[in-house]
Amino acid sequence: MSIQDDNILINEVLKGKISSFGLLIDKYQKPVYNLIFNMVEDEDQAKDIVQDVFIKVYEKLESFNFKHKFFSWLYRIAINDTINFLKNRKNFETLTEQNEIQEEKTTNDHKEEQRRQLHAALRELRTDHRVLILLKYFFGLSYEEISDVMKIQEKMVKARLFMAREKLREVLIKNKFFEHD
Amino acid sequence: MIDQDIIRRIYRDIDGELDFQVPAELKNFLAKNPEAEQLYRDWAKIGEKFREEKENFREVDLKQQILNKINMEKYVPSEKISFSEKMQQVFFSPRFKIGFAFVLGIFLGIFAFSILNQGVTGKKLKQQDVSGTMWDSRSYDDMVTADNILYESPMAKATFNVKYSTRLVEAHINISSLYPVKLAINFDPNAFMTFNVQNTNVNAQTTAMSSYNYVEINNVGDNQFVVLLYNKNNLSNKINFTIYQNEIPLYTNSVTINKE
Repeated sequence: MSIQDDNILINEVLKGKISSFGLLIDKYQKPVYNLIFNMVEDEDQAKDIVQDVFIKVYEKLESFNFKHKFFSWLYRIAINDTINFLKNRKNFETLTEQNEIQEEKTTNDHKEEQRRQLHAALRELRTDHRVLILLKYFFGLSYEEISDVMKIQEKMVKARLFMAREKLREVLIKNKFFEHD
Repeated sequence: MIDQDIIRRIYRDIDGELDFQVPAELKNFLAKNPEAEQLYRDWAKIGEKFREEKENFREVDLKQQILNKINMEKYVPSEKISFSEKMQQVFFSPRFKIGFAFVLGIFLGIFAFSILNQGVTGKKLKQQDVSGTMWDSRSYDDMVTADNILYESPMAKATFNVKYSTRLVEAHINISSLYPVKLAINFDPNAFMTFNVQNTNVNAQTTAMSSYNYVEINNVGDNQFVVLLYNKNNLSNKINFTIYQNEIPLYTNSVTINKE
């Protein structure tokens, strides 16, 4: 389904065809949920945020600018809402992460262990760096698309992503993610 | 220490942004630079892990919960209708029809009143100026008085108030008698013709009859009549009033109409 298809669906929703909004949910709920889940690391909280994001998108749909891509707009709303959520949860975050890490260390699966290490390293990144890494590697967005989502210049995207990568590798080396250590 | 530019090129390669020529050149460089090669291999591994993560995206189905929470009425389409359709709706609506009838009624009322008002408040014309018009139907008070006669005797009492216009003669008659009397009204049929006899206040014992050239009233008690005659020619003519009792004349008199 292309960007044009998204625009057609949006126009249909604005004309009162609610089923078209259902199609947009079908298309984007999975990536949005996984983006949010990888930021908040909590299934129930991620689901709550996803619902709020789509409700907000529906409410603001008449202000959508068709010059932009729908998913950029959707991801931006999702990221901003999740960042706001994380700010409110900040006081509880450290304790939660520690508990999760304790639990995850019990697994013996090598692949799963590496996965856990990757997520643990991501959690150690600044929120904006984490978002950039997720958008780039989880969702495969181009610099231009990330620029559109984050509302920052493309060269700024490149500069920040460079720092985010360096930091991520540094953390992964520290956590013995690589075999060469 | 790896050159920042080399690191950027490694990232671009991992991101798949370089063309076919550059990776070969880059790989030659990496072969000679173990530290840079390690960085390349590390990011290749990170990239692989991320791809695995992407393939293992968690499934979720929140569609129904979301649709249950949104305001379905928000984008209900408003029926857009053309200007002509809107006008048709207005003109054919019962409210408009009633309003139009009301306004039309007001205007017609004003129009009719303005016309009729002219007739009421208009300047009074002379008799000769309105000859042949409806002037004859004006009220008794506006007619010309011919005579007011009073007859009084022990047998009967009568008054004859006679007025006329160009086309009508109107006689108001009050007659009172203890015993039956007959009032005969005679006139020249070339000058007058009986038009109507109205019993304005008549008891059951009293009768009136008329023909084209006379009126006869047989009276007992107190009665009132209005006798209307058609005034045929506007020439000076007489109307005779005679009261009889047992066919014996008690009183006779005449009134001249169209006096010169």
